[in-house]
Amino acid sequence: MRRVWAILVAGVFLYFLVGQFLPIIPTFGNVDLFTRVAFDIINKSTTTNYNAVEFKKSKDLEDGSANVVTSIVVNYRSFDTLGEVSVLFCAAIGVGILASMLKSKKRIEFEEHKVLMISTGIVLPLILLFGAYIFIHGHLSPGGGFPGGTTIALGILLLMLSNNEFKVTDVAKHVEQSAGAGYVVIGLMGMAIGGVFLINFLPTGVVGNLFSAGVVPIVYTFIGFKVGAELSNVISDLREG
Amino acid sequence: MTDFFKSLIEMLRDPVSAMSVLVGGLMIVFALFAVEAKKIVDSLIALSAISLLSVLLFVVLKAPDVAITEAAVGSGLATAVMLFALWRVDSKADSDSQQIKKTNKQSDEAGEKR
Repeated sequence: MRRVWAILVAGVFLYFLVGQFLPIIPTFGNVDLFTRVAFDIINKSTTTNYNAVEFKKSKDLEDGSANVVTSIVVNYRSFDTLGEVSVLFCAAIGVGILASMLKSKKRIEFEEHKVLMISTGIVLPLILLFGAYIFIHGHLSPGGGFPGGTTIALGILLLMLSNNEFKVTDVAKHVEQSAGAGYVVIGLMGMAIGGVFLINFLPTGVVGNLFSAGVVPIVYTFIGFKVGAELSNVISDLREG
Repeated sequence: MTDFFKSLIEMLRDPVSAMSVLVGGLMIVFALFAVEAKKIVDSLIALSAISLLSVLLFVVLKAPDVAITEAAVGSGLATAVMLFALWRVDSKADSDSQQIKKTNKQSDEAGEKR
């Protein structure tokens, strides 16, 4: 029965690939490039009208973030990042399902250690603050939403190691949902204002200021909250029986 | 062969590349240890050490974004997730260890027969 299903699924997939999708693809070398979004960026002249970018002076650039990686990840290739976020979401769902399928329902408990408990109380706010700093300053310094959110999740992990009664409640799920929805809402706002999904519709400001680069810091804040809540959920799924 | 050693010695004079060679060699050693270790926990710790050393290489190669992500995800979170999963699977082995031993024996015999 399983083989029949596999053959059926493969047949449907092949039909859509060969019959529907392949005829749409233009032949090699005959693509009308001006219909593609990347056309303007490919044909942008770098020799004429060249102005050197100066830190804290240049104003209203095409992309105002001082960190090149961020300007690619969240501005030019923002749709890829949306896909990346959804891949992480699917991975978290997979870990949750796998953890619930394990036979042992025993919760992982640790020995209570007084030194660890007290030092966690001192260090944990600093870790959370550092994670927030990483994703808020993603457009100025190395880092961004993904490492910042992971740092926050590591803070939650420290709290789990030190305190047996701590549990990740449903608040994490709600934070994750609303942050992921916020990213899409920003994309739709760009569609309404600028005409393209996830376009940078806010003024970019002066390079190097905290409030610059338009939409980028907002998107990275959403990604930071989403990734932090998601990874804490993954850890707590594995811990709780 | 002598040319290779000469170029290696010349490369080791630069402190940054000497550090890179040292870190890369340590990564290879940890990788071999992760494969050969008897306990899985030791393998996990070796994998975490590999991630931590690769952070140094990323900083040398001027990729600080990747370095921060690798330090947070590779050496911190991934190790924790794998350790938690290992403990969950192990506690299952404790509760009905006899059955698992029996199935292991059976599968060993089946493997020998093949």
